[in-house]
Amino acid sequence: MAKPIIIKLEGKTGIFEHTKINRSKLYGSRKRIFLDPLGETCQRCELSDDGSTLIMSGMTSQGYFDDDTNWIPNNELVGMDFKGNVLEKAPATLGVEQDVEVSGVESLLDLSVDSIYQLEPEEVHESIQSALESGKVLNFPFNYRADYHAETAYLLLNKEGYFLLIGNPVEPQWMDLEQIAVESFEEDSEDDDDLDFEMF
Amino acid sequence: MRRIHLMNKDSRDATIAIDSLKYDKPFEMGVPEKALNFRRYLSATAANLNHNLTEQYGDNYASHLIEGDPEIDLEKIGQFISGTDVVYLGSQGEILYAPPKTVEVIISPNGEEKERRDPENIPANVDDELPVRWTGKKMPKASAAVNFAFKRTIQVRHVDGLTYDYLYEMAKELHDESVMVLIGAGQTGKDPLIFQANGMPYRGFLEGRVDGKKYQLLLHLSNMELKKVKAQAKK
Repeated sequence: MAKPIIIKLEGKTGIFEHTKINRSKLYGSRKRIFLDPLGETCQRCELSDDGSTLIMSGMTSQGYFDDDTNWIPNNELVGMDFKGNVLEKAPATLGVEQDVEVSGVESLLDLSVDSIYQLEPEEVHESIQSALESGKVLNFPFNYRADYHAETAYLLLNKEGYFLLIGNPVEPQWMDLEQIAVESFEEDSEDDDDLDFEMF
Repeated sequence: MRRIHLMNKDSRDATIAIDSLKYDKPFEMGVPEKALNFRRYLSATAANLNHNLTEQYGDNYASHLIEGDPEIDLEKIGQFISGTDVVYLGSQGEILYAPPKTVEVIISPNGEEKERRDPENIPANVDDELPVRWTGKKMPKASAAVNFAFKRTIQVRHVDGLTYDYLYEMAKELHDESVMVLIGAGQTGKDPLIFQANGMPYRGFLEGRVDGKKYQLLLHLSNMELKKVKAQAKK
Protein backbone atom coordinates (compact mmCIF):
# COMPACT_ATOMS: atom_id res chain seq x y z
CA MET A 1 0.00 0.00 0.00
CA ALA A 2 1.28 3.49 -0.85
CA LYS A 3 2.49 5.69 1.99
CA PRO A 4 -0.11 8.14 3.30
CA ILE A 5 -0.33 11.87 2.69
CA ILE A 6 0.58 13.67 5.90
CA ILE A 7 -0.04 17.39 6.35
CA LYS A 8 0.63 19.83 9.15
CA LEU A 9 -1.28 23.06 9.70
CA GLU A 10 -0.07 25.23 12.60
CA GLY A 11 1.35 22.19 14.35
CA LYS A 12 -1.78 20.04 13.88
CA THR A 13 -1.70 16.94 11.73
CA GLY A 14 -3.88 15.31 9.13
CA ILE A 15 -3.20 11.85 7.69
CA PHE A 16 -4.95 10.52 4.58
CA GLU A 17 -4.97 7.38 2.44
CA HIS A 18 -5.27 8.21 -1.24
CA THR A 19 -6.72 6.64 -4.40
CA LYS A 20 -6.26 8.11 -7.85
CA ILE A 21 -9.51 8.74 -9.69
CA ASN A 22 -10.39 9.84 -13.19
CA ARG A 23 -13.36 10.41 -15.40
CA SER A 24 -13.61 6.84 -16.67
CA LYS A 25 -13.72 5.44 -13.12
CA LEU A 26 -16.64 7.76 -12.36
CA TYR A 27 -18.68 7.77 -15.55
CA GLY A 28 -17.19 5.05 -17.75
CA SER A 29 -15.58 5.71 -21.08
CA ARG A 30 -15.90 5.11 -24.79
CA LYS A 31 -13.41 4.02 -27.34
CA ARG A 32 -13.36 3.28 -31.03
CA ILE A 33 -12.32 -0.11 -32.26
CA PHE A 34 -11.73 -1.29 -35.82
CA LEU A 35 -13.16 -4.50 -37.27
CA ASP A 36 -11.99 -6.54 -40.26
CA PRO A 37 -14.40 -7.95 -42.88
CA LEU A 38 -14.98 -10.99 -40.60
CA GLY A 39 -16.12 -8.70 -37.79
CA GLU A 40 -13.02 -9.45 -35.72
CA THR A 41 -10.93 -6.76 -34.04
CA CYS A 42 -8.06 -5.42 -36.15
CA GLN A 43 -4.57 -4.86 -34.86
CA ARG A 44 -3.30 -1.32 -35.29
CA CYS A 45 0.30 -1.23 -36.55
CA GLU A 46 2.68 1.17 -38.22
CA LEU A 47 4.63 0.85 -41.43
CA SER A 48 8.02 2.58 -41.47
CA ASP A 49 8.25 5.37 -44.03
CA ASP A 50 10.63 3.34 -46.23
CA GLY A 51 8.03 0.54 -46.22
CA SER A 52 10.52 -2.02 -44.94
CA THR A 53 9.31 -2.64 -41.39
CA LEU A 54 5.89 -3.42 -40.00
CA ILE A 55 5.91 -2.14 -36.44
CA MET A 56 3.55 -3.82 -33.98
CA SER A 57 2.81 -2.94 -30.38
CA GLY A 58 5.83 -3.72 -28.16
CA MET A 59 8.41 -3.40 -30.94
CA THR A 60 9.66 0.11 -30.17
CA SER A 61 11.32 2.00 -27.35
CA GLN A 62 12.52 5.55 -27.00
CA GLY A 63 15.49 7.14 -25.34
CA TYR A 64 18.17 9.79 -25.39
CA PHE A 65 21.10 9.58 -27.83
CA ASP A 66 24.17 11.78 -28.23
CA ASP A 67 25.38 13.19 -31.54
CA ASP A 68 27.37 9.99 -32.21
CA THR A 69 24.12 8.01 -31.73
CA ASN A 70 25.31 6.46 -28.47
CA TRP A 71 22.39 5.56 -26.24
CA ILE A 72 22.45 7.36 -22.88
CA PRO A 73 21.15 5.14 -20.05
CA ASN A 74 18.42 6.69 -17.93
CA ASN A 75 20.56 6.57 -14.78
CA GLU A 76 23.05 8.99 -16.42
CA LEU A 77 20.37 11.59 -17.09
CA VAL A 78 19.89 14.51 -14.72
CA GLY A 79 17.38 17.36 -14.56
CA MET A 80 18.70 20.68 -15.87
CA ASP A 81 17.21 24.15 -16.09
CA PHE A 82 17.15 25.90 -19.45
CA LYS A 83 20.55 27.51 -18.77
CA GLY A 84 22.06 24.02 -18.44
CA ASN A 85 22.45 24.12 -14.65
CA VAL A 86 22.01 20.77 -12.92
CA LEU A 87 19.04 20.75 -10.55
CA GLU A 88 18.75 19.02 -7.22
CA LYS A 89 16.15 16.29 -6.91
CA ALA A 90 13.04 17.19 -4.95
CA PRO A 91 12.33 14.36 -2.48
CA ALA A 92 9.14 12.29 -2.52
CA THR A 93 6.50 13.74 -0.20
CA LEU A 94 4.37 10.65 0.52
CA GLY A 95 4.71 9.55 4.13
CA VAL A 96 6.55 12.78 4.96
CA GLU A 97 4.83 15.56 6.91
CA GLN A 98 4.22 18.60 4.68
CA ASP A 99 3.54 22.10 5.95
CA VAL A 100 0.39 23.43 4.33
CA GLU A 101 -0.76 26.95 3.52
CA VAL A 102 -4.36 28.07 3.68
CA SER A 103 -5.45 29.59 0.36
CA GLY A 104 -8.53 30.99 -1.29
CA VAL A 105 -10.22 29.24 -4.19
CA GLU A 106 -8.78 31.62 -6.81
CA SER A 107 -5.35 30.03 -6.54
CA LEU A 108 -6.98 26.59 -6.87
CA LEU A 109 -8.72 27.83 -10.03
CA ASP A 110 -5.29 28.82 -11.39
CA LEU A 111 -4.05 25.24 -11.10
CA SER A 112 -3.53 23.24 -14.28
CA VAL A 113 -4.74 19.91 -12.90
CA ASP A 114 -2.85 16.76 -13.88
CA SER A 115 -4.23 14.22 -11.43
CA ILE A 116 -6.96 13.82 -8.85
CA TYR A 117 -7.04 11.68 -5.71
CA GLN A 118 -9.92 10.87 -3.41
CA LEU A 119 -8.77 10.73 0.19
CA GLU A 120 -9.83 8.65 3.17
CA PRO A 121 -8.99 10.40 6.44
CA GLU A 122 -7.09 8.34 8.99
CA GLU A 123 -6.67 11.21 11.40
CA VAL A 124 -7.67 14.84 10.90
CA HIS A 125 -7.31 17.49 13.58
CA GLU A 126 -10.40 19.64 14.20
CA SER A 127 -8.60 22.84 13.14
CA ILE A 128 -7.83 21.34 9.71
CA GLN A 129 -11.39 20.07 9.40
CA SER A 130 -12.88 23.46 10.26
CA ALA A 131 -10.55 25.33 7.86
CA LEU A 132 -11.73 23.04 5.07
CA GLU A 133 -15.38 23.25 6.11
CA SER A 134 -15.18 27.04 5.96
CA GLY A 135 -14.50 26.73 2.21
CA LYS A 136 -10.73 27.26 2.40
CA VAL A 137 -8.35 24.99 0.54
CA LEU A 138 -4.93 23.87 1.71
CA ASN A 139 -1.93 23.76 -0.57
CA PHE A 140 1.42 22.06 -0.21
CA PRO A 141 4.18 20.55 -2.40
CA PHE A 142 3.50 17.07 -3.74
CA ASN A 143 5.93 14.63 -5.28
CA TYR A 144 4.81 11.03 -5.71
CA ARG A 145 8.43 9.97 -6.19
CA ALA A 146 11.72 11.90 -6.01
CA ASP A 147 12.33 13.86 -9.22
CA TYR A 148 13.36 17.28 -10.40
CA HIS A 149 10.13 19.13 -9.83
CA ALA A 150 7.55 19.00 -7.05
CA GLU A 151 4.01 19.73 -8.15
CA THR A 152 1.42 21.68 -6.18
CA ALA A 153 -1.37 19.90 -4.31
CA TYR A 154 -4.66 21.43 -3.16
CA LEU A 155 -6.64 19.62 -0.49
CA LEU A 156 -10.34 20.41 -0.37
CA LEU A 157 -13.51 19.13 1.24
CA ASN A 158 -16.97 18.98 -0.30
CA LYS A 159 -20.11 17.08 0.65
CA GLU A 160 -18.71 13.90 -0.95
CA GLY A 161 -15.50 13.97 1.08
CA TYR A 162 -11.85 14.95 0.81
CA PHE A 163 -10.12 15.37 -2.55
CA LEU A 164 -6.62 16.28 -3.61
CA LEU A 165 -5.97 18.06 -6.92
CA ILE A 166 -2.39 17.87 -8.17
CA GLY A 167 -0.93 20.07 -10.86
CA ASN A 168 1.03 23.18 -11.65
CA PRO A 169 -0.03 26.83 -11.35
CA VAL A 170 -0.72 28.86 -14.48
CA GLU A 171 -0.74 32.65 -14.68
CA PRO A 172 -3.59 34.39 -16.47
CA GLN A 173 -2.68 37.73 -17.99
CA TRP A 174 -4.34 40.97 -16.94
CA MET A 175 -5.97 42.47 -20.03
CA ASP A 176 -6.30 46.19 -20.62
CA LEU A 177 -7.69 48.12 -23.58
CA GLU A 178 -4.33 48.29 -25.38
CA GLN A 179 -3.73 44.52 -25.27
CA ILE A 180 -5.70 43.53 -28.32
CA ALA A 181 -5.35 39.90 -29.40
CA VAL A 182 -3.76 39.79 -32.86
CA GLU A 183 -3.96 37.23 -35.60
CA SER A 184 -1.04 34.81 -35.58
CA PHE A 185 -0.31 32.94 -38.77
CA GLU A 186 1.91 30.42 -37.07
CA GLU A 187 0.72 26.85 -36.94
CA ASP A 188 -1.51 26.57 -33.89
CA SER A 189 -0.49 23.38 -32.15
CA GLU A 190 -2.22 23.93 -28.87
CA ASP A 191 -5.32 22.02 -29.87
CA ASP A 192 -3.41 18.78 -29.60
CA ASP A 193 -4.63 17.97 -26.14
CA ASP A 194 -8.22 18.63 -27.18
CA LEU A 195 -8.23 15.49 -29.20
CA ASP A 196 -9.91 12.56 -27.63
CA PHE A 197 -7.81 9.92 -29.34
CA GLU A 198 -10.10 7.17 -28.07
CA MET A 199 -12.63 8.51 -30.52
CA PHE A 200 -10.64 7.84 -33.69
CA MET B 1 -5.70 32.81 -33.08
CA ARG B 2 -8.49 30.57 -31.78
CA ARG B 3 -11.92 32.09 -31.42
CA ILE B 4 -15.15 31.67 -29.54
CA HIS B 5 -18.53 33.05 -30.56
CA LEU B 6 -19.97 34.17 -27.24
CA MET B 7 -23.34 35.63 -26.30
CA ASN B 8 -23.80 37.64 -23.11
CA LYS B 9 -26.81 37.78 -20.81
CA ASP B 10 -28.42 40.51 -22.95
CA SER B 11 -28.22 38.22 -26.01
CA ARG B 12 -25.49 40.34 -27.64
CA ASP B 13 -22.95 38.16 -29.35
CA ALA B 14 -19.36 38.70 -30.48
CA THR B 15 -16.49 36.61 -31.76
CA ILE B 16 -13.44 36.98 -29.57
CA ALA B 17 -10.05 35.37 -29.04
CA ILE B 18 -9.20 32.52 -26.69
CA ASP B 19 -5.91 31.02 -25.48
CA SER B 20 -5.27 27.94 -23.37
CA LEU B 21 -3.33 28.69 -20.20
CA LYS B 22 -0.42 26.31 -20.07
CA TYR B 23 2.27 25.47 -17.63
CA ASP B 24 5.82 25.31 -18.99
CA LYS B 25 7.89 22.53 -17.47
CA PRO B 26 10.85 24.24 -15.72
CA PHE B 27 13.47 21.58 -16.52
CA GLU B 28 14.60 19.07 -19.08
CA MET B 29 16.45 15.80 -18.74
CA GLY B 30 19.97 15.61 -20.13
CA VAL B 31 23.68 15.26 -19.50
CA PRO B 32 25.62 18.46 -18.66
CA GLU B 33 27.40 20.00 -21.67
CA LYS B 34 26.22 17.32 -24.04
CA ALA B 35 23.63 17.77 -26.76
CA LEU B 36 21.11 14.92 -26.71
CA ASN B 37 18.33 13.88 -29.01
CA PHE B 38 15.24 12.00 -27.92
CA ARG B 39 14.65 9.26 -30.50
CA ARG B 40 12.32 6.36 -31.05
CA TYR B 41 13.94 3.12 -32.14
CA LEU B 42 13.15 -0.49 -32.96
CA SER B 43 13.66 -2.66 -29.87
CA ALA B 44 12.23 -5.94 -31.19
CA THR B 45 11.07 -7.51 -34.42
CA ALA B 46 7.81 -9.40 -34.87
CA ALA B 47 9.64 -12.74 -34.70
CA ASN B 48 11.33 -11.72 -31.42
CA LEU B 49 8.19 -10.67 -29.57
CA ASN B 50 7.42 -12.57 -26.38
CA HIS B 51 4.39 -14.51 -27.63
CA ASN B 52 6.26 -15.78 -30.72
CA LEU B 53 9.28 -16.85 -28.68
CA THR B 54 7.03 -18.56 -26.14
CA GLU B 55 5.43 -20.52 -28.95
CA GLN B 56 8.79 -21.39 -30.46
CA TYR B 57 10.65 -22.47 -27.33
CA GLY B 58 7.86 -23.59 -25.00
CA ASP B 59 9.18 -24.76 -21.64
CA ASN B 60 12.80 -24.07 -22.57
CA TYR B 61 12.12 -20.38 -23.20
CA ALA B 62 14.07 -19.09 -20.19
CA SER B 63 17.21 -21.08 -20.90
CA HIS B 64 17.17 -20.01 -24.57
CA LEU B 65 16.94 -16.37 -23.49
CA ILE B 66 20.03 -16.78 -21.31
CA GLU B 67 22.10 -18.82 -23.71
CA GLY B 68 21.25 -17.55 -27.15
CA ASP B 69 19.65 -14.07 -26.89
CA PRO B 70 16.92 -15.06 -29.38
CA GLU B 71 14.98 -11.90 -28.47
CA ILE B 72 17.58 -9.74 -30.21
CA ASP B 73 17.81 -9.39 -33.98
CA LEU B 74 21.20 -7.71 -34.45
CA GLU B 75 20.38 -6.63 -38.01
CA LYS B 76 17.30 -4.68 -37.01
CA ILE B 77 17.43 -3.65 -33.36
CA GLY B 78 18.38 -0.05 -32.72
CA GLN B 79 17.17 1.21 -36.09
CA PHE B 80 15.78 4.73 -35.61
CA ILE B 81 12.16 5.25 -36.56
CA SER B 82 11.10 8.55 -38.05
CA GLY B 83 7.89 8.80 -40.04
CA THR B 84 5.37 5.99 -40.10
CA ASP B 85 1.96 5.32 -41.59
CA VAL B 86 -0.84 3.60 -39.72
CA VAL B 87 -1.88 0.22 -41.11
CA TYR B 88 -4.37 -2.31 -39.79
CA LEU B 89 -3.92 -6.05 -39.68
CA GLY B 90 -6.98 -8.29 -39.92
CA SER B 91 -7.63 -11.13 -37.49
CA GLN B 92 -5.60 -13.51 -39.70
CA GLY B 93 -2.59 -11.17 -39.61
CA GLU B 94 -3.13 -9.85 -43.15
CA ILE B 95 -2.71 -6.15 -44.02
CA LEU B 96 -6.05 -4.49 -44.79
CA TYR B 97 -6.07 -2.48 -48.02
CA ALA B 98 -9.52 -0.99 -47.36
CA PRO B 99 -10.55 0.99 -44.27
CA PRO B 100 -11.78 -1.24 -41.43
CA LYS B 101 -15.28 -0.84 -39.98
CA THR B 102 -15.25 1.51 -37.02
CA VAL B 103 -17.37 0.75 -33.96
CA GLU B 104 -17.74 2.80 -30.80
CA VAL B 105 -17.64 0.79 -27.58
CA ILE B 106 -19.17 2.16 -24.38
CA ILE B 107 -17.46 0.92 -21.24
CA SER B 108 -19.02 1.16 -17.77
CA PRO B 109 -17.06 2.50 -14.75
CA ASN B 110 -16.26 -1.07 -13.65
CA GLY B 111 -14.66 -1.84 -17.00
CA GLU B 112 -17.51 -3.89 -18.52
CA GLU B 113 -18.52 -3.34 -22.11
CA LYS B 114 -22.06 -1.92 -22.08
CA GLU B 115 -22.84 -1.18 -25.68
CA ARG B 116 -21.52 -1.11 -29.23
CA ARG B 117 -22.77 1.44 -31.72
CA ASP B 118 -21.90 3.20 -34.93
CA PRO B 119 -19.67 6.19 -34.20
CA GLU B 120 -20.95 9.68 -34.77
CA ASN B 121 -18.75 12.50 -35.96
CA ILE B 122 -19.27 15.40 -33.60
CA PRO B 123 -18.34 18.85 -34.93
CA ALA B 124 -16.75 21.60 -32.86
CA ASN B 125 -19.30 24.11 -31.57
CA VAL B 126 -17.52 27.07 -29.96
CA ASP B 127 -16.83 29.11 -33.10
CA ASP B 128 -20.06 28.22 -34.81
CA GLU B 129 -22.95 30.13 -36.33
CA LEU B 130 -24.81 29.58 -33.05
CA PRO B 131 -23.03 31.38 -30.23
CA VAL B 132 -22.03 29.83 -26.96
CA ARG B 133 -24.57 31.17 -24.50
CA TRP B 134 -24.42 32.67 -21.04
CA THR B 135 -27.01 30.37 -19.38
CA GLY B 136 -27.68 32.51 -16.33
CA LYS B 137 -26.89 29.55 -14.06
CA LYS B 138 -24.53 31.13 -11.58
CA MET B 139 -22.67 29.34 -8.85
CA PRO B 140 -20.56 30.84 -6.06
CA LYS B 141 -16.90 30.61 -7.04
CA ALA B 142 -16.06 28.81 -3.80
CA SER B 143 -18.69 26.15 -4.47
CA ALA B 144 -17.73 25.53 -8.12
CA ALA B 145 -14.04 25.24 -7.24
CA VAL B 146 -14.58 22.39 -4.76
CA ASN B 147 -17.26 20.50 -6.69
CA PHE B 148 -15.75 20.27 -10.18
CA ALA B 149 -12.34 19.22 -11.45
CA PHE B 150 -11.27 21.92 -13.88
CA LYS B 151 -8.81 20.25 -16.19
CA ARG B 152 -8.19 23.20 -18.45
CA THR B 153 -8.51 26.96 -18.33
CA ILE B 154 -8.92 29.20 -21.33
CA GLN B 155 -8.36 32.93 -21.21
CA VAL B 156 -10.86 35.00 -23.19
CA ARG B 157 -9.35 38.10 -24.85
CA HIS B 158 -10.79 41.11 -26.67
CA VAL B 159 -10.00 41.75 -30.34
CA ASP B 160 -10.88 45.46 -30.47
CA GLY B 161 -12.13 48.33 -28.33
CA LEU B 162 -15.77 47.28 -28.50
CA THR B 163 -15.08 43.73 -27.39
CA TYR B 164 -12.89 45.11 -24.57
CA ASP B 165 -15.99 46.84 -23.15
CA TYR B 166 -18.08 43.73 -23.79
CA LEU B 167 -15.71 41.38 -21.93
CA TYR B 168 -14.82 43.86 -19.19
CA GLU B 169 -18.51 44.18 -18.28
CA MET B 170 -18.90 40.39 -18.10
CA ALA B 171 -15.79 40.04 -15.95
CA LYS B 172 -16.90 42.84 -13.65
CA GLU B 173 -20.35 41.38 -13.08
CA LEU B 174 -18.91 37.97 -12.21
CA HIS B 175 -16.18 39.53 -10.06
CA ASP B 176 -18.59 41.73 -8.12
CA GLU B 177 -20.94 38.81 -7.43
CA SER B 178 -18.02 36.38 -6.79
CA VAL B 179 -19.73 33.78 -8.97
CA MET B 180 -19.02 31.68 -12.02
CA VAL B 181 -21.61 31.32 -14.76
CA LEU B 182 -22.22 28.16 -16.76
CA ILE B 183 -21.99 28.69 -20.50
CA GLY B 184 -23.22 26.19 -23.06
CA ALA B 185 -23.51 25.60 -26.79
CA GLY B 186 -26.40 24.85 -29.09
CA GLN B 187 -29.80 26.47 -29.59
CA THR B 188 -30.64 26.55 -25.89
CA GLY B 189 -27.14 26.66 -24.41
CA LYS B 190 -27.50 23.23 -22.85
CA ASP B 191 -24.88 21.42 -24.92
CA PRO B 192 -21.32 20.93 -23.68
CA LEU B 193 -18.49 22.83 -25.36
CA ILE B 194 -16.49 20.99 -28.02
CA PHE B 195 -13.40 22.85 -29.18
CA GLN B 196 -12.38 20.52 -31.97
CA ALA B 197 -14.18 17.97 -34.17
CA ASN B 198 -14.62 14.75 -32.15
CA GLY B 199 -12.89 16.46 -29.23
CA MET B 200 -13.66 15.99 -25.56
CA PRO B 201 -16.94 17.65 -24.48
CA TYR B 202 -16.58 20.00 -21.52
CA ARG B 203 -18.85 22.03 -19.28
CA GLY B 204 -17.66 25.63 -19.36
CA PHE B 205 -17.70 27.95 -16.34
CA LEU B 206 -16.84 31.60 -16.89
CA GLU B 207 -14.98 33.41 -14.10
CA GLY B 208 -14.25 37.14 -14.04
CA ARG B 209 -11.59 39.13 -12.21
CA VAL B 210 -11.21 42.89 -12.34
CA ASP B 211 -8.41 45.21 -11.19
CA GLY B 212 -9.18 48.83 -12.05
CA LYS B 213 -9.58 48.92 -15.82
CA LYS B 214 -7.90 45.54 -16.29
CA TYR B 215 -9.78 42.27 -16.43
CA GLN B 216 -9.28 38.54 -16.60
CA LEU B 217 -12.12 36.51 -18.10
CA LEU B 218 -11.35 32.85 -17.63
CA LEU B 219 -13.26 29.91 -19.06
CA HIS B 220 -12.70 26.91 -16.78
CA LEU B 221 -13.44 23.56 -18.41
CA SER B 222 -14.59 20.49 -16.56
CA ASN B 223 -15.66 17.01 -17.61
CA MET B 224 -15.78 15.57 -14.12
CA GLU B 225 -17.44 16.32 -10.82
CA LEU B 226 -15.47 15.76 -7.62
CA LYS B 227 -17.36 12.67 -6.47
CA LYS B 228 -16.18 9.57 -4.71
CA VAL B 229 -15.61 6.54 -6.89
CA LYS B 230 -17.21 3.48 -5.35
CA ALA B 231 -14.90 0.46 -5.19
CA GLN B 232 -16.03 -1.98 -7.88
CA ALA B 233 -14.63 -5.32 -8.85
CA LYS B 234 -13.36 -5.18 -12.41
CA LYS B 235 -14.56 -8.07 -14.52
